Amino acid sequence: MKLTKHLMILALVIFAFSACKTTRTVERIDPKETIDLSGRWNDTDARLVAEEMVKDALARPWRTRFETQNNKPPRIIVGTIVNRSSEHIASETFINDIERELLNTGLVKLAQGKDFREEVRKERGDQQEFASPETTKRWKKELGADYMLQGTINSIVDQFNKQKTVTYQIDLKLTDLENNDISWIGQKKIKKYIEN
Amino acid sequence: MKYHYKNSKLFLALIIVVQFYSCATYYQMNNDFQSKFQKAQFEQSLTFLENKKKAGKGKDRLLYYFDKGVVCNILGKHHLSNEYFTQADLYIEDFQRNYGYEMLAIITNPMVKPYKAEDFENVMIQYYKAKNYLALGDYSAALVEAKRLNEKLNQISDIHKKKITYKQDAFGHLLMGLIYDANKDYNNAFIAYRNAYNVYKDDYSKDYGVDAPEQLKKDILRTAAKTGLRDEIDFFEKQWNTKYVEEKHSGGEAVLFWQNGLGPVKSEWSINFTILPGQVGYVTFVNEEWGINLPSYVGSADERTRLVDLKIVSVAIPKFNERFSMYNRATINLAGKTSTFELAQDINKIAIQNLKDRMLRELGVALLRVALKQAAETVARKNDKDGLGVALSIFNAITERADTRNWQTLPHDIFYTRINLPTGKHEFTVNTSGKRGNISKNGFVEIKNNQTTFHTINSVETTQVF
Repeated sequence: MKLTKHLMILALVIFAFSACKTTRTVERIDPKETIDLSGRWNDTDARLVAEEMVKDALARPWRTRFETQNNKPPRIIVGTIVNRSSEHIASETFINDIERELLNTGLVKLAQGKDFREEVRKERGDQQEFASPETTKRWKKELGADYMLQGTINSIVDQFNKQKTVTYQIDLKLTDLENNDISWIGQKKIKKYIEN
Repeated sequence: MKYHYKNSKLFLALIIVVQFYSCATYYQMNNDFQSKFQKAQFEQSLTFLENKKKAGKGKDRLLYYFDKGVVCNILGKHHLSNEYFTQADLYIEDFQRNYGYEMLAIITNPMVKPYKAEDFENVMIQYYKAKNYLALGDYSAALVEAKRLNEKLNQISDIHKKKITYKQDAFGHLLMGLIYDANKDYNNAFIAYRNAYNVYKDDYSKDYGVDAPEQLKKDILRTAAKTGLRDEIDFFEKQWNTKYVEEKHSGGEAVLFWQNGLGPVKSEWSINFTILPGQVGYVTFVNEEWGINLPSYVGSADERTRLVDLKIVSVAIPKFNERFSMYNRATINLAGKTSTFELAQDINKIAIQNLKDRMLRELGVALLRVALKQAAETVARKNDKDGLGVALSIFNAITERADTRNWQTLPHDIFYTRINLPTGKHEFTVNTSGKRGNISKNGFVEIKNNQTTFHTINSVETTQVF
């Protein structure tokens, strides 16, 4: 009798628990909030690097020298950022962060990069055929960039048992498109310690 | 009278339990489907699954999605295949542990719980989804699958401890490389290919006997060159004692997968343990033949005494049975070129090793389950409830099962090759060979200018199982 009662209680408990699942919660957070979960390259890394390196680049003599010589701000195009690390890093979003930082300073002009330029030209070509003459944008009116910004992202991993350090090294170079001179080189390192 | 009435109710309940529980393994329960699939009767297999729509709602729905996805992929129904694999993908992503099922599993067996895929099975979802998108010419969507695959591979390498063999998936990285390559993202393709090479070199070659394919090495050098990574080219040229020579390619590329045979299926076996008293609050389950000593915490002295009185318990644990492939080698002839397929993934070995690594954990859980059931039975008998004791004994014996579920439509191995071809339609002949002879299969690929076309050849022929 006692055992039957126990079995019935057990059955009831199982029935009750069948409604219990681990639940998922979703919380919206500020995109600027720093949250490091896996130790890999994340949005905070991209944002910090873009902010600091653009600030450094624009504070160097090449900019004021150009403005003095040409009486206008320099025009920059952001080229390729080559990923040499072992992680898949979304370099497109990193490039977007750099472009945004450059433009928001108001100190330089920004030219459209190769990824979207073709679409712009296709639209311009479309206008030649379909848009009204007074609104059609003309060919050969693009302003050439004065400098190209390119770079690399590399990582060095040191690992033993459950401990790991990852050092990201981001190198950026600004090249004069007329004479091929390198006008600025910047480097930033981010080091993370991860313990499992 | 009252006692007799109570016993009748008990045995009626038992009859219901006997009806509910089957002694067959998951493979045997799905024999109708498996027999058609193994004979390459794919249309009939699909019809069979379509008549079993209820299976798509039950605890084994993940396996139903897998099987239907695979059959549709083989039949060229790529949209439909992806519908099922997407359902599978989201089911795993949203999976939440149900404590009711967990408790039920403890007093019956693990087959009552909803099936959640093994890590290597989870990775294979992206393989099939990417192949479907690539076959449909949707390279951007395939890229999304590459990114999802990257997230899964990161998760696997983050959570696994040292004792687990499957910590990284070389084929997963290789697949990512192929997708990035097809999308002309040579930087990411290089990283993925290099990661794949490192896993083949450091893990796969010693754990599964799978070396880095020669095609992979060529692709590493080619994508390094396209990305401008001269120092990487120098590094690998030294390592492989080779010289990179840029090949001038016109037309397009064909990447061909050969899915050979079928992966292993689970059955179960019983192992006996003697129960010996351990330290306070513990007993030790011992099997001298297998050299297993498993301490288990049981709590009270009474509980410990009860278990030690049992002396011997028998537990059911799963094991894999290999379905040996008919063939072990394949070459392809097309447009006057011959290429040999290279082994990229040995799913059979990964599955078997994965289960071996988990064996101790499976044993621990199984022993706890059996111990609880047997203890309840002993209590019933001692309290002079012979009818209930016998009923419990039968119930325990019937419900004591190992979890024999796994994705049983995966291939035994996956091989691949890459060929540069002129634009246009090309007929091919695949010659497969093995101990049981040779067979040829014909087909065609359509090559588009400056694009990569993916195609799969299936050889599901396998040795018959139980």
